[in-house]
Amino acid sequence: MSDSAITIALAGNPNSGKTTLFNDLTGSSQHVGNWPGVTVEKKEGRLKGKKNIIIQDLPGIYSLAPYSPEEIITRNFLIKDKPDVILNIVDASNLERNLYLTTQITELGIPVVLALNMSDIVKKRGDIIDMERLSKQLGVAVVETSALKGQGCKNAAEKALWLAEEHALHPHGLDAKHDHAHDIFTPEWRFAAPVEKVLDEMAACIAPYVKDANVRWYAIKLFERDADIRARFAFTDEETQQLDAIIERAEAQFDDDSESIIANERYSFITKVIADTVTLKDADTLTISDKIDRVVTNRLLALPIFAFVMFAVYYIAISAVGTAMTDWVNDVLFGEFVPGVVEGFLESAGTAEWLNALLLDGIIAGVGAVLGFLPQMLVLFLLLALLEDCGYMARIAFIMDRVFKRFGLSGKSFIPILIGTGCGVPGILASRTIENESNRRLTVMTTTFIPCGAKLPIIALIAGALFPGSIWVAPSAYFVGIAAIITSGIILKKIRLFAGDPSPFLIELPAYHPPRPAGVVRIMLERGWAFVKRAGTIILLACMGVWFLSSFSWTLEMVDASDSMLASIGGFIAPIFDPLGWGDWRAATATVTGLVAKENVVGTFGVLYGFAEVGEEGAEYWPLLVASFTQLAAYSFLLFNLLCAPCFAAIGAIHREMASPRWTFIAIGYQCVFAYFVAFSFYQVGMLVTGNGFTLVTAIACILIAAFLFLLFRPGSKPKSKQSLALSEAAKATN
Amino acid sequence: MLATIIISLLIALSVVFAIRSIIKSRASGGCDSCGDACSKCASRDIVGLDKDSFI
Repeated sequence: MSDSAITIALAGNPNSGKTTLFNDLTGSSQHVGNWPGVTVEKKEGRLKGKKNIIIQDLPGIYSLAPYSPEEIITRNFLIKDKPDVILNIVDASNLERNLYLTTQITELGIPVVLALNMSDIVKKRGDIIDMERLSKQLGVAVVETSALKGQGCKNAAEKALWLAEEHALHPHGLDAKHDHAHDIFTPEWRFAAPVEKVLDEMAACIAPYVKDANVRWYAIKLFERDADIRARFAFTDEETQQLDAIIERAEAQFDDDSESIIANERYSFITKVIADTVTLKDADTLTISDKIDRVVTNRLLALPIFAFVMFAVYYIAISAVGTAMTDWVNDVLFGEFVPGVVEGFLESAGTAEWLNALLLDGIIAGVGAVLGFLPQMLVLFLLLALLEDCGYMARIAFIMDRVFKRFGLSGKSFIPILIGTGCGVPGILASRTIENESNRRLTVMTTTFIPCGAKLPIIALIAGALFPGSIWVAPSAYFVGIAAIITSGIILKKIRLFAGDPSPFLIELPAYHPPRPAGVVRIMLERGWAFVKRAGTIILLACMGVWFLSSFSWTLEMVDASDSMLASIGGFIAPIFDPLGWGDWRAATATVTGLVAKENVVGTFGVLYGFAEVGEEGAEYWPLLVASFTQLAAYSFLLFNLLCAPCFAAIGAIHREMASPRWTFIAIGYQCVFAYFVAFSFYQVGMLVTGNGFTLVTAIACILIAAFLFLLFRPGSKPKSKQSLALSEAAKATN
Repeated sequence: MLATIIISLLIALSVVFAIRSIIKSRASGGCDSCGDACSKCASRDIVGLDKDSFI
């Protein structure tokens, strides 16, 4: 056995620490999100130092029912691929809820090791879990772990390996005299006798079709009327009638539906296990997390606190700390040092004029302009990682669930938005967790409204160059994104195409804990490095292209930018943006190049405007840009670029997730129209307010705003049922 | 002249590497917006990219 491959499957509830344990066991560095839904598909790695041991990280699930993609993936893997052993990771600080899945896993006929993760929190609270008794009652091996601190992980893996090897040698169980007899999969717990009698009848019917070890699990699933499992059997009509008769008789006997009968039995068993094995130091005392949540998730205070936190994050990252560092990078590094050194070198080498221009005005001006915002991005990524790691991000999803439910979405639609603050592509892909197809499509359409990392340089550029010293411009970008998502949700949910009930949203709020410096810094550096790599690849190519098109005429002669190919192309599309206040060919070109990658907006500005220029009073930054835009036009430009179609990569992700050209067109079309409407309305109303008179265009803007308000406030169709709304009540952890 | 040729070749080389990197990351089938770094960012977990590349 030791020479052949052994598969250890990691299974457990969402946010129980599976990915952290996976990283510890495999030496991998998969992203660990402190909210549920980070792992939507299974991942595979090898145990450190043992290439023949495969560790399979499965998506977090609450049960083995086939209701969500995660549950289906996990269930199919456990049933079809049959791992050698299951390492069931449970949050020991929330043992009661986590054991529901455990009771199902132990029925699969596969050896199970129960890892009591976060046991350090249990000990810190002063609670005691009787591991030996727990092990005996569940019929599984039990170990303590703290994946976050790397404690007990190796022991858990060794125990799982030992169990897998023993099970291979003794597939029917160990001799009762064996020291570890109860470690082998022999669940000793049973449902109440009348239920067991019914299950025995079911088992007798299906025994010819399945292996002995799996009879019980299939009997339970068939009793629960699991359609997926039923479809796997080729029962005769007589057998089907017989099974249905057993189920119907039991339902009449217990006066409940079959699924609820089994669920009740599980809960009764879990209640008994908890009573027998867990001793709480002080059951009535609120934990620190509970005390914080009383304020942070309070119905009245939650949203203002959320608004304040996000305002502070964007203010600190872009206007305060980040600016100081970015100023240095722009002023010293890319403003003086790099161009000075390169220019001096090129002059001494006697290179061609076009090459000097390409390097200085194309590559350094474009890529340098983008890289100049790296410090602000690092600070933003650091702050977002801190919020995620300490557990606040999960609260935001919980808080936003209340808001989203009002118009037919749920907090499940907010998870992609949280992920989208880093990059829109994974945000779009994260929508896979939403079961309701119309809600999923709506989420895909709106996720990229939230400013991703690539949009940060645009925000920082407009805030820094056009609104120096302003504290509201940068944070407003985030709230514009949130407002766009909410208003789009309200309007679109009233359309039949998107009508439907919200997806059930269950979220387990993790206990607050101090952020892990290493983990937080790692996330910050990884995202920062990704940004640098993009600057060195796609941004570099785009800046060279922009430089070429803006330096040569159609006859390929070097000319001023205003006579270049780009000027004529940009001049052709610029009138479209005239009503938005920035009908300049350079701004129009920057917006179009932003489709390649959003940072290109800044890169293109760097090439076309030049970001540093030495004037009479010393170096000036973005002087031509400042001269080309009014503040009103600049904010309108920011609004359009925040909300319009995302980069090609994100458009590709939208296309993949929509799986339909028509839906992709609807999504991109809606984003562009919505962005145009917002920027147009803002600019025209702004012009009116600042005393520029009422024109025909202003009248059109007023009509569009009235139409928008009508769509926003008109009564919509009611949700189909109240039952599903009740399901979306978020379950809060009793930490 | 020689300096122009050498620097032009270096730029051409960097363009080839940039294109190669973009094609490589797109070929990985997942998040192509972050280049190679997608192997470590959240998208990797969600997309479940080809297993061999991170084992």
